[in-house]
Amino acid sequence: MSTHDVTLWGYALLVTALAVLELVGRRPGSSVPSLGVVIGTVMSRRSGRVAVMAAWVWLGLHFLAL
Amino acid sequence: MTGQSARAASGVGGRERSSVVLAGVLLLASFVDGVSDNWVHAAVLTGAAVGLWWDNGRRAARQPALLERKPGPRTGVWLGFVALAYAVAAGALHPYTWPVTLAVVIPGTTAIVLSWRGPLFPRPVPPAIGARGAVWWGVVFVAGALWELAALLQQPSIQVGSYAHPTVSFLMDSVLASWAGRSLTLALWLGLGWALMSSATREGE
Repeated sequence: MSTHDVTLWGYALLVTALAVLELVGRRPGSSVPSLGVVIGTVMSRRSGRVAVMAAWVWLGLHFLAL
Repeated sequence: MTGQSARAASGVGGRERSSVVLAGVLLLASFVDGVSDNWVHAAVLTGAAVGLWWDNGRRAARQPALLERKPGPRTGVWLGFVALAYAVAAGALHPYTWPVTLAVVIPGTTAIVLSWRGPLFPRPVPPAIGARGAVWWGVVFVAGALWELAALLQQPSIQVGSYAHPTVSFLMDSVLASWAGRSLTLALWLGLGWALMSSATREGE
């Protein structure tokens, strides 16, 4: 297996981990919150809202803009 | 000090700490972008950091949410249609040029200003989350950041991608090479922005 494949498997593993956490978080009574709850909590403060939206803008700039 | 005033004081302290920490993180990210020759990115991040710093500790009057309630399905369809048309039009622009930069900066800056003001529409604050549960999300996001950083550091240089150690940006290059790919990416980015804006809540600021 090449380093290219290993890197891609790493990304796939991370995406799978996110999906598993989300599924676990959506189970009733789970101690793991869903991603929506985590983001809602972070964005309940002005600093959190601004930081999350700044990260989103950065993402758009990074992939498409100068 | 009464229990209520102690809680209020502790809330203010927590708010100030989180603002300072986040402003610091944004400044650090801005510095890294700046030394990588991404000056527009650095300017946006510095602007948000300076704004957070300036705003820290101010007792601005609470403004009501922009909308009275969450838009209904019909408005949602119209908004989706407008966002899709915007993505198709902006996707036709050449990547990494000033026109497409403006096409990202305009909705982006609008979203930051609106999020500063408050949530888009009233929404209940989610129940408090336990540290144990939140840690799992932190572990996965930090692992992702480290994996991406490891690939980045194994490139020939910070601006030259590597097939052997591809970053997400390197993998996205082939998608962004076509109009359809850029439009789809922009549409997904706008959708993510809307989802994030819709997730915003407000507790005592």
